[in-house]
This record gives sequence, C-alpha cells and structure tokens, in this order.
Amino acid sequence: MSFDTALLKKLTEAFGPSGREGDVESIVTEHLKSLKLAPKKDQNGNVSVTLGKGGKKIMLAAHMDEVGVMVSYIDEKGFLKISPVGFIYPEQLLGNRVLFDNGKWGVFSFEKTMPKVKVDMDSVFVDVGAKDRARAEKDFPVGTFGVFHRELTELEGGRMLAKAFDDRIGVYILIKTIEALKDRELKNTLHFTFTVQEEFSGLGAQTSGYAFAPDMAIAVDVTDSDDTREKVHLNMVLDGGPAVKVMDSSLISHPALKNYFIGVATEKKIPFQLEVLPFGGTDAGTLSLLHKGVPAICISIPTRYIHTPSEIISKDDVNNSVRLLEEALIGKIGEII
Amino acid sequence: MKFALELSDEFGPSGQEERVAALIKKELSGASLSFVSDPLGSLIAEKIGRSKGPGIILSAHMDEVGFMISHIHEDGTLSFRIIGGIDKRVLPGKTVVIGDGRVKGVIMVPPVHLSKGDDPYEAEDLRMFIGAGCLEEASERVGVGDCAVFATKACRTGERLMGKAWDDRIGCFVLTEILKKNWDINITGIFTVQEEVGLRGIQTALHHVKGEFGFAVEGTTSYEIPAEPEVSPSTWLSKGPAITAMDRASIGSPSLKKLLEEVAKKGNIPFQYKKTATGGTETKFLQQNRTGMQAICLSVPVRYIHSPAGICSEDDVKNTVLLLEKTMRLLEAKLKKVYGG
Amino acid sequence: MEPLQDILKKTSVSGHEGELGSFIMESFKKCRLKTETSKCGNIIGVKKGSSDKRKVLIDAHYDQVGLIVKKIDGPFLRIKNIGGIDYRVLPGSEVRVYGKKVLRGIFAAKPPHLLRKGETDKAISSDDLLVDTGLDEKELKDNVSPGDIVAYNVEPFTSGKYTFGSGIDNRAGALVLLKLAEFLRDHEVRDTVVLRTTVMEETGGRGAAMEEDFDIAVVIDATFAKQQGTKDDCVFNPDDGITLSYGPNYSRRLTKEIEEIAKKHGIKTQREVEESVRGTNAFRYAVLSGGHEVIGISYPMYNMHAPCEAVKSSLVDNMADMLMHFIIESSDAGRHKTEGGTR
Repeated sequence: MSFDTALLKKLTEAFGPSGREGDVESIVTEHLKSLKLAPKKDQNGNVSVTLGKGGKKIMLAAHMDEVGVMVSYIDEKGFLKISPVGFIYPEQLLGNRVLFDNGKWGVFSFEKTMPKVKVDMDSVFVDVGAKDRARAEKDFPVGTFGVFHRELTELEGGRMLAKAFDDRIGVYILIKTIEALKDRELKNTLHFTFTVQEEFSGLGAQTSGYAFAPDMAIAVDVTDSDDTREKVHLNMVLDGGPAVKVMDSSLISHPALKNYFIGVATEKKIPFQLEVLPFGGTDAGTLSLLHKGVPAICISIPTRYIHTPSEIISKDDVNNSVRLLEEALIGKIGEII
Repeated sequence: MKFALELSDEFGPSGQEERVAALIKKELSGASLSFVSDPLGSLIAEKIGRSKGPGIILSAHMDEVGFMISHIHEDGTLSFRIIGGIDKRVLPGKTVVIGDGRVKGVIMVPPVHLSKGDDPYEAEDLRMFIGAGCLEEASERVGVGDCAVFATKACRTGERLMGKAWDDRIGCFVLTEILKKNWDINITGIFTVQEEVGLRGIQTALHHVKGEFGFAVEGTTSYEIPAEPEVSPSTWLSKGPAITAMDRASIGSPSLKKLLEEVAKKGNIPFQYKKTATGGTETKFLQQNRTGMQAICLSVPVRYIHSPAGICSEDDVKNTVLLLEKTMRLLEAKLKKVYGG
Repeated sequence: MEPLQDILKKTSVSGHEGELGSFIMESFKKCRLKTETSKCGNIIGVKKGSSDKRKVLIDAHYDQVGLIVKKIDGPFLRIKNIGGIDYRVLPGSEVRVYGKKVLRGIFAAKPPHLLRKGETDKAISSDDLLVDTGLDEKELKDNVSPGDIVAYNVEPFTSGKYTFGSGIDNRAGALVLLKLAEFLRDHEVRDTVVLRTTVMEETGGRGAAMEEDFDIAVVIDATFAKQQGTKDDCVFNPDDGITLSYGPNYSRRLTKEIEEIAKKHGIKTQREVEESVRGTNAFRYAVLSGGHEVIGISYPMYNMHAPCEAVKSSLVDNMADMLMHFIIESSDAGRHKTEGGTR
C-alpha cells in the first residue's frame, strides 16, 4: 500500500484546536469531493459521508481537533495568560512556538528563570512580542485560539514525526479506508464521521452520534506507546500493528467487536496488539452511551509523546490499520451482534 | 429590580428549590406562559409563538450553595456538610437559616482569647448553634438532612446590588425579564435545579424541550482586588455582560459569539469576555442535547460568588437583558424565515 | 428579649459609643436618676441612698469590638481591628461603614472557582482583607475617610432560648444596668447606687481607669461558654447560670454573700476562676485610687468577638434580679467601707 505523505502532511499541519476545526473540515471535505463523494457538514462542524445502505448502521469516527490553548487574560506588560484547550503538559510548553487563529506567532515561557521547579499552568505565559497590554489586546483578544505548530518530518525506520497525529492520523486512516471501500459492494451502511471537540468535551461524537443512531460504533484514535522507558507498564509498542482496544477509562469495548477484530486480523495475517489503557478516553466512549447504548470499540494507533508538539508514529501501523478496517468492514461484521 | 432582591433572599439550596420555583411562577403568572415541572424540580416556562419550528432555549439555575445538617450533638449544636463549592475559610461566624422551619442560627467560632494558631478552621470542626442547649431541644426544631443557606438579606448599595445568591438568581431574573416580552417564535425558559452539585437539573430538563439556539445565563466569577494583580479577575463589574468563549466543559458557539459581538457593537452595549476557563456551565448540555444546538453562555459579573454575599452591577444586569433580547430578535427573524409565522 | 435586640441594633464600637450612649442617657433620665456624662463617654446614673454611707458602683462597659478604615485602596477599604478580633472570621462577613452616610459592605472572598491548589490550607492574612461597599472609587472617597468606623452588620434575632447579634459583649451588660435603673425608679435603697456604663473596655479597660467616687464595685461582663475548640476549665455551660469570679482581684467575702443571696432566690450561679491579672474593668477598679472591694459577675456567651454572638436570654434577667436582691439584702448595706472588715 502506498503512503500518501502529502495528504498526511496537509492534515497534521492544519490549524484545528477543539472548537476551531474549520481548516481541517475544508481539507477533509475537499478530499472527499475529489473522490466523487458528497460529504455533509452539520451545525457543529462534524463532517460525514455514508457508504452502502441496508444492513447494520455502523458509525466510524475520527476526530479532527487537536489540543491547544486559548488566551484568557492579558497582563499590563502585554504577556498573554492562557487556558488549555484539552489536556496539555505545562512543562512541555516551554520554549515551544504557538500559532494563533489570526496567523500570528508567540512563544510559551515561564515565570521563573528555569530553576528546577515544577511548572504549573498558572506560571506559563505567552510572549507575542507586544510592547504593552493595549497592543496585545488588539491582535489577541481574550478567546483567541492557539496551537503548537510543527512541520511533518520523516524519521528513520519508516517512522514519522509531527504535531497533531492525535487524531489527524485517525482522519487519514478513515479517508484511506473510504478510498478502499467506496467502489466495493457493501452489506451494511457505513457512516464515516470526522468529529469536533473530542479533546475538550466530546461534543462532536455526542451530537453526530445521536443524529445517526448507529447499531455499532468504531472510533479510530491514537494510544500511548510505552516502549521508550526501561520499565514498561503498557502493552502497546510502535510497529506492533494496530491496537484493538479492550479498555480505557471511558470504555470497555464490546466483547463481540473485540473478538471479531482479533479474528479478522488473525485470519488475514495482519499484525495487531491488544490495548488496555488505564487512563484516557476516545469518541468510542462517548458513542457507547448514546440512546439505549451502542456496542463500540476503538482501533488505536500506537503513538509516542501524545499531546506534545512532537508525536511519533509508524507508517506500517497506519497501513495495517487501514487494512484491518477494510477487511473487517467488508466481512461479516453485520452478523456478530 | 425589587424582584431580583426577592429572588436572592429566597431559600433554595441545591435539592430544595421549590420556593424559588414558586416565586418565579408567581412573577410570571401574567406573561401567558405554560409551565411544566420535571421530576427533579426544574421549572420549564414555555412561550408558544406563531412560528411552529423549534425556537430558543434559555437556562438559569435556581439553586444556590448551602449546607446540610449531618449530625445533632448532645449539647444541641449541629455538624453540617457543604452543598456545592464554598471556601471553608468564609464559614466561621456567619449566620444561617435552616430547614423548612426557617430556624436561624450561627456557625460557631471559639473566642479569639482562647483560640490559638493561624490555621484555617476545618469545615468538619465547625458547628452551628441554634439557641438549643441540648439534643432534645435541637431535635424539636431541626433534623439531620435539613438544608441551610447563608442568612444574608439583599440590598442596594450605590448602583450595585448585594445579596447571597446572585449565582444564579440574577440569571433567573434576566430570564423572567425576557419571558415577559412578546415573541413570535417559541421561547423556552428553563429554571434548573442542582447546578451547583454537578449540573444535574439541566440534563433532565432538556429531555422535555426542543430548540435551535440556546443561551445559559449565569452570575459569574469576578475578583478584581488589588492584592492579587497576577490573578486574572475573570470579569469586571460595570463593564457589561460577559461572553464566555470557553468554560471547563464547553466552547461557546462561534456563530453566536460573533452575533453577540456584532449586536453589542452596533447597539453600543458594553460587553466583555470572561477571562478564565474555570467552572462548568449548562452550555455543555444545551450544546449536546440530542443532535445539539448552537449555544453559548452570557454572564452577569458578580464579585464573591459562593460566599455569604456577592455584589453585582444593576447596569450589567440591564445590559445583559438588552444584549440578549436584541440578539434573540435577530435569531427570531431568522427562524421565522425558515419555519414561517 | 426585644430590649436586647433594640440595643444590639445600635453601634458602639470602642471610642465611638455615641449612638448607644445617648440611648442609655435617655433611659437613665426617664428613671429619674441623677445623670452625668464624663468627657470620654462614660454614662453615670446615680440613685441616692437613705444612709449616705456606702456607695455601690455597678459597672458594665457598653462598647463593642469593631474595625476602623486604615486606607482607601481603589474601590476597596483596608481595615484594622479595634479590640481583639480573629481575622479568620472576616472573609465573607457583612459590615456597616460609618462614613458621611452609612454604607453596607462585605469582606471580599475569592470564589472557589479561582482558588489555586493548596490555597485554602492557609488562612487569609490580614493584609489581604478588603471591604467592598459596591461604590466606585470616586463615590467611595467622597463618602469614606481613613479613621471611619466599621461595625459588623448582623440583624439581631432570637432562636430557641438565645438572643443572637453582634456586640452582645458587653451590651447585654448595659441592658442589666437599664433594668436596674427601672428598679431604682420604683424602690428606695439604703446605699447610694451608681450605675456606670463605661467606654473603651475592649481597648484595655480605659473607661474604668477614670476617677469615680465609690466604695465597692460590681462589674458585669461576658465570659466564655463551652463550645467546640475550647478547653473545659475556662469555659461554662450557660444552663448552669451566672458566673461569679474568684481570684486575688475579687472580694471573697462579698462574692460569697451574693452567691448566698442568689441561691436563696433560686438563681443559678457557678464559679469562675481568675487566678491572674487581666485588662478588664474589674482589675482596674480593684486598684483605682485607694483600692476597692470588687465583685465580678458574668454571663457565659458563645462566639465572643465574632460577628454574631449568642447569649441565653434568661441570664440577663437573672443577673438583674440577683443584683436587685443584693442591693436590698446585702448585710453591709449602710456601712462605710472603712468599717467593712477583712476581704
């Protein structure tokens, strides 16, 4: 399978914190239109496209948003105080550059001069170069969104480095799955949704899932890859194949779905690993609670340094995820529950 | 504004909002509304317009922070737990009103002559005293499980209003003002319960209503004291209603945010942005109801919420009503185009 | 207990006792006592006795603890205490500010939403305490100046057997004197009785330090009721009655006599030990001029010096009754102090 680096580069480098996913929405919509599909956008910005009809209603979700920051206060000297949008590590901010929704730049800094002190969000500020409060308020009013900005880079051994692989890699995988399935005969209704605000409140999955009312739901998202430290606590490693989620703090995957994915991967000889994450949550958790409950699972891509400006993934894991989804969706998934 | 003062004075800790609901219902009795109460106690007031489609939902919560009696001691004093978020350091020495019998009492504090140290008093060490000398006397007047609130009486001070429960009776007041006006579209006012204990009332109330746009109206944090210039004051008094770009649980609808800004600028109505993203509001549930609606939170700045008395500005209250109404008129025109009427 | 609530509505912060002072003055006059106001504000009502030999002084300070404006900082007031106040009771407390007009105010308290982690582990320091009147800076400066008095604002009320309000210490004592004045209006006595309500006790017993002509003194004040956070040996159960002070400062002879008189009339008393010297009026009187025999009587009270104190209403009546009986029945009545014998 060829790897569409150009598309992934466009996706990861796009500006899209929770609540301001417009640029990512455009990229996804344009791409789907170029495939002669007719994507729909709802009032919250969720983008969706449906393949096939009849059978079971299956929802696939990947979120377009990334973690970011919002300007919450401007002090007299023109420095910006910020609130996190989604979970970020304050100590990871220092020295990083931030790109705001007005196209302007700033840098994260810290109120103490780098002693060995624990960094908390209160002591982090953004320097945008403004000389005073008035100047800063003009361009960066309270409510201005910002994100880390980094370019996508290829690393050794088929691995890649970028910001926002969480969850643009999921978006990429869903797009590639759509490409693989769009001209195939399908037994079920596949509803692909690119959601908003997963990192913040789960708004996108909650509302789009309510509207579609699926019979089952599959999220595609990243998971922690715990293969860097000496003492390993988690099962997931880079290059180990897509991770079939068994549990995280928002979801216990439906056993029939879990067993089905394991069965497909084994039969088609696609490498895979099992994921038990003692923290975190995805759109799958949100979707599982809708209406009278929806059987749900998440296919995860092992990722290092999630929610930092430099996340790392493996191209093989990505391609294998597309293959696993493709095989699973044309198989007997409609008959398992 | 007299009704606002009455609202603040009414007894209504989370879980016991009936008196506030009754007061609001009485105030709105002439406004041609239909009323429904949901099983948790939220009051839903609906104005049916000529336009048939879904309209606008407004929410404000009736409950306030308070206390619940957890134990009556042999000496007639009462232990209590805190309902909602109250800094333990504001408790000692404050007067309270307890239970259905409106029994008055005070949170005891040892005499300064005998108390040692500078550590704050822990809430679990504090007791209420109601003038009862023993368990029997106390039990005749209050019971375990009775709720209590601060005994503050609301008043005007200069151009400002002082009262115990502006979070969120001031929002309730704004809603009553809007609901008294004439509308061509459906307007639903939800006066919710149990917001202070985890945004509970709004979740059930929304099952009973439908809308296309939503506004949560709140009394929000303000803390503009000079001692802490490093802390964001969140909002300023007398600088107009505060638009919330983001709170802990939701991001305000970008289109409604833009609309509010435009209406304010065009109508010369002062407005500000809330500068902190702490605290959750009912916006989250308005946005996530069923397939979701565009929703945002508009707030009246209040100094010292969740303490025995808060202060808000009368001008801010009036401007909140004005900005909300003008914005809703534009949405009304838009909805009439789509759904007729 | 209406009369006590009436008194508690008036302000008499140490050094600024005028509002309550003129009320006491009027009441003394109505009872046809010979009245006098000292330059610093002590108010005296005298009932002449038939024997003219012994003068009994009955004292209660009528000032209360309070606060004073230290500085105007933007739209806020910085304050300092007058008398002993635990700063930990102030955040969130309501006050009245006595500027050009009387303003309502509140001590600023940070909303929990904005608190930093661990912030509540420390008490708010007195430097960070601010009063907010809701007025803007200009209006505030037009109305308030440094040195203006600030009083707790608590509407007095009755709950159960108790009266609640601010400054019960020692305005309940002042009420005992008003009740005695009514008694003296209707009764003739052998000893000359001097009712003296004094100022500035809370700032060190200064009102009592001023010259006055008398033979023995009975001093009425508040003492501590047993409550959470106090040790048993220096606090009292209000249900056990009025406390009578025993210690080097007090006349054992006279205290035992009043104890007997109370017992005879079914008025409950208990003993309070004051082993060392304190700054209250009783200690001033013992050493004033040539020295005097002193009786100390107190009502146990909750939350002393906090915004809302509480006293068992019947204790005030009992105290007045006990003193009426003492005035009539004291065996020394009509004897001069030099004939008084040993302490």
